[in-house]
Amino acid sequence: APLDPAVRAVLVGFDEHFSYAKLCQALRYLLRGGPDCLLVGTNRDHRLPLEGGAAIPGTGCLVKAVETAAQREAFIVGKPNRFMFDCVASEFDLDPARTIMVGDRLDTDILMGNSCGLTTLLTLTGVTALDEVRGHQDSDCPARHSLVPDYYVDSIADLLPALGE
Amino acid sequence: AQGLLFDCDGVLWAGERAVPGAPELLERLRRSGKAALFVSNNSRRSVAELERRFSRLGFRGVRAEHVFSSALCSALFLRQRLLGGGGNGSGAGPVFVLGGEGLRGEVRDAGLRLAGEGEPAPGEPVRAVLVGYDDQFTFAKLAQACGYLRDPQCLLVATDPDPWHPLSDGQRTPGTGSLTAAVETASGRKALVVGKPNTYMFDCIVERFGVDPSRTLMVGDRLETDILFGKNCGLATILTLTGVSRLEEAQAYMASDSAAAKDLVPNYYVDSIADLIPGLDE
Repeated sequence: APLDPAVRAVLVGFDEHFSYAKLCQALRYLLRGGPDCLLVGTNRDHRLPLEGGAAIPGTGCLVKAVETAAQREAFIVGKPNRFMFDCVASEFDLDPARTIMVGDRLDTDILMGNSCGLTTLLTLTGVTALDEVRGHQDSDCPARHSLVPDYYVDSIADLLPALGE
Repeated sequence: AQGLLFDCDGVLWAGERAVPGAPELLERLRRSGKAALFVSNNSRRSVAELERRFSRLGFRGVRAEHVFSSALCSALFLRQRLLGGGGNGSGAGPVFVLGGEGLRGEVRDAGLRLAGEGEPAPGEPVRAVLVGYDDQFTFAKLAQACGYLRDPQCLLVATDPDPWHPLSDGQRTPGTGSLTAAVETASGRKALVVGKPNTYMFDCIVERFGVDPSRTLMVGDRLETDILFGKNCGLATILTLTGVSRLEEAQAYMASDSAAAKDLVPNYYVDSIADLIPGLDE
């Protein structure tokens, strides 16, 4: 397929119709544009969990395929990058010191929350098990400490009593 | 030197065009009794197809047994790992192949069975996922591969690490390396890579022909695969400039402080392998 002369960016998101042909086309745009063609990924999640322990490939896999072929790094908009927090904070009057980030994933939700100065709360109804957190907590590596939440709950329903409901 | 190992794409030919003087070089090597063998990361073609390609492009006397492609060597690797010492193919579970008919044929020829695409889960577990050059790669196949890889006993193997390949019009096409990166990310596993710069293909060559590395030269066009392969196998290396790598890249590696970079610097370089012909008379 011929290249559209107006294209200035390649955006990689979740694409269940991803194919070699599309990967090829992305590579052609990136080579044609060089640094003038942006390479952006929505997020780096490796897997989207399904019931029963199964999972489907996440956007991160497709971003990696494009990055490898083009031999350049994508700008990632999603967590743990703080771009989305900055979007929220610019629209709403947020005081990080009085805001809690609630999530189930350490390397996206909790890391972003910690990086943005929010209080972080991990819920165990998703991908993360408690021993994973303990592993990071006990580690000597400071980078891993950024993955440790301030609090955790088994489920966000556990927050109801605290609200006086 | 007693013999030479040649990479193919960008060394002997570019697309459908033989590098001028390359067929003559091989002919002169044959006549002076020096061995010429071929080692290619390209996993698209079977060695039988490659034999026909050599002939079609004007290279005489090259037989399939002289050609070591990553397709062939991946099949041999899987046969070794799935069948152990001896035994026939029916003993091993199927292999899920992400690749074209050339690669699939080599896997079958090694006595292994292929897992079907788009079929319900087979009655027995898939024993390996093999990632090659797959221009029919889709999200659905990626998801299918990941399903098989949930079993820790299922091997993840890649034919080669190449991130892209040049096309004759100056464009690039994504390589196996980019597809492997997707599978590794989704499965959380690291692939066993058969092709250059890893040394398995050299083991295949030694097993068949008993080559002495100290008297063998490796000739290639890609620093990160061919030249590093030569270094890893104990071969002296020649970079030819008719393919992927530019002289400036080799110079940059030479100027680098990192020890790893030094391994990517060839012993010699030529503008084209035709430049080796005069040296044969010495």
